[in-house]
Amino acid sequence: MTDKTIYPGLIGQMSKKQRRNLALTSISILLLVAFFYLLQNGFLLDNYGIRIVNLCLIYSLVGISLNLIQGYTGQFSLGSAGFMAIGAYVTTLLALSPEVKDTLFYLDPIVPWLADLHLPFLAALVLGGVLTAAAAFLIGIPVFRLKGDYLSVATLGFSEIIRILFVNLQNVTNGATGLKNIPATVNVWWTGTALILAVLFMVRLFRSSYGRSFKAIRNDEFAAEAIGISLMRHKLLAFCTSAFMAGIAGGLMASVVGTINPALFRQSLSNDILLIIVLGGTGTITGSILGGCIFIIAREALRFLDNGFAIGPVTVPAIAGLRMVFFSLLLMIVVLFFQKGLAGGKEFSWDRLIGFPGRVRKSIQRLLHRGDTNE
Amino acid sequence: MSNILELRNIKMQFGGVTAIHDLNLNIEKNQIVAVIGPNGAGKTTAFNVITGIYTPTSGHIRYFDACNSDFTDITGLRPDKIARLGIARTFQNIRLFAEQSVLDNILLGQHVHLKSSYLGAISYFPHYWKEEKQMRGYAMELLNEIGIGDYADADAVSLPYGIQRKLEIVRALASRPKLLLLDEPAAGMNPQETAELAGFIREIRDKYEVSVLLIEHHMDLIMEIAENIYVLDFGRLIAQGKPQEIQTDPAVIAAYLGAEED
Ligand SMILES: Nc1ncnc2c1ncn2[C@@H]1O[C@H](COP(=O)(O)OP(=O)(O)OP(=O)(O)O)[C@@H](O)[C@H]1O
Ligand SMILES: [Mg+2]
Repeated sequence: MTDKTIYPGLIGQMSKKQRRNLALTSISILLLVAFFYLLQNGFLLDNYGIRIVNLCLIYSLVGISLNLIQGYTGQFSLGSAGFMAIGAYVTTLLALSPEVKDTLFYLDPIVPWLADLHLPFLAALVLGGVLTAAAAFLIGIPVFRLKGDYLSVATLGFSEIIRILFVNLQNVTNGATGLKNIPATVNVWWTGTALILAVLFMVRLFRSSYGRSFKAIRNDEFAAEAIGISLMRHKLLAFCTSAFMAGIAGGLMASVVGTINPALFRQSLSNDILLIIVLGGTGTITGSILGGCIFIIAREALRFLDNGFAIGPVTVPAIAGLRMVFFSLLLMIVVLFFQKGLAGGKEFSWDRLIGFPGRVRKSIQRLLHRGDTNE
Repeated sequence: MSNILELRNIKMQFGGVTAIHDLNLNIEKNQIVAVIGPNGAGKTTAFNVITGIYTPTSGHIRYFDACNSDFTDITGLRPDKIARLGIARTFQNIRLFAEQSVLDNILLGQHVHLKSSYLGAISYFPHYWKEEKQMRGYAMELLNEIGIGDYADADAVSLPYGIQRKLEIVRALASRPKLLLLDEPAAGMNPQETAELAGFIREIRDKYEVSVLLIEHHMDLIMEIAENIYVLDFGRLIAQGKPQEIQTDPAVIAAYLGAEED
């Protein structure tokens, strides 16, 4: 408890352990910056590898976004894809230069007011996030008025509506063809910074009274309301923040993959994000990042499953979707053996990391000891 | 005398079931009032109507709002708005925030008074830091009062049952209410714990200047601390008065003897 009462920056008041942790955190941030630098300048991975790292960071961000509303606040949402779609389209349409837009909308010209709208990427990205949050606000107001779990149904419908809307708004979104030749503005610095800011935001949020209230709503809505927590206001805050993050992730993703179209934002994308948080563990930041990275890396590493492969003399033909079978199996194993997800339902901390060898030794000793007494 | 809460002709129906018929009830400032009655009499329903969980089928509830120094009609107001006005409660089956610490539970009781904005709190502006520090100070004060300051970091539901009941009362107190509703606070307590609880309720009434409305089945507790008693039976008010009057009221004796051999 004491470590949270100290205002950050008052190093003089910190205990030895807190100072050690602060030092470790500072060192790892420096290492991370060095890692990003080496990565961005091609010393570590090729372009394909960098793209994978970017996607890991982006999916971790969406994982955090979904965890905020679902894992922490207890409101089931199936709308990640829809929110990412809004972020991706708004950011891209605002950041693309008028010339590129001209060449993209060759079937049907783009609406005039959008044609000449050209913002710096950062402004476009933030605006994408803000508009996504606004969409969440509009969904949230009627849904949170109801008691019960209607958010999942509403967000599921919302995602589909957004996708169909984007297919049909030819003069704004370029319809099913989508947007191509999106400049690769986003690099590891962008995705890395976005994720770090999101993590910092979450840490601060859940040390504050608002974060506590979100958790209280997850724990017991009745009791939360009885002590004066407005369910409407707090669910809206959590939902809009979550949507803002998903919108930012969508905007970043558009620039990383270079091409977006409505098919990219099918319901299966929302399901992937759900998979990420269940895999990593609902209600933890560590779990979201672990889940996001494992999902992206496994999806790439297992590409061969969908393309057909040979085990010795046995040839397995190409079966599209075999990867998803793997993920389903993985999910079952996690649900059966790691109910709290791969992160174990606990947040990463230096104390836990340093105490890890000791804990392993202890549990081995316990196991051995149990063997003794059983004889 | 000045009242803090007035129920006027409250009726509560659920489909065909009438849980409360025409209830009139007054609570004076700083008074301890008890609601008693056999199981299913409508006591908890009365609490739920006062705290906004149910909107009464008919009737009115007036609450003396100290901020305006005037009565406001709180009939059918949302529970969080009623809590904001200064009415706090506990539940018959304890409803602590299970996956949160003892300290967090008390801090949550104070969230209603938080002045910092959402983004202000997250960016940890000095103003929020001051508020958080104050909240923690008050929370520890309250926890020490019930002797569990050392367990601030423990999971709320890891505490013994009797302590959990007290913790729930203290969580309600943390919101600095003017009226405290306690639904069977001594349920599951042994005679010694019950006796202690009686002292504790009187203590908090004096120290925090709250009015208390409580539901109880422990008659000795009621007789010891209640200054006014309302007796419900099948949703009807069958008697009202001082403990001595209630003890000898033939209607009350009949209701209790008819309901159970206790
Ligand atoms: N939400 C509801 N829907 C339908 N009936 C209800 C509802 N809430 C309460 N009742 C009914 O109202 C009556 C009074 O219930 P209530 O819980 O108020 O009793 P009580 O006096 O608190 O009893 P106990 O001493 O057992 O706690 C019961 O018959 C109950 O079934
Ligand atoms: Mg009851």
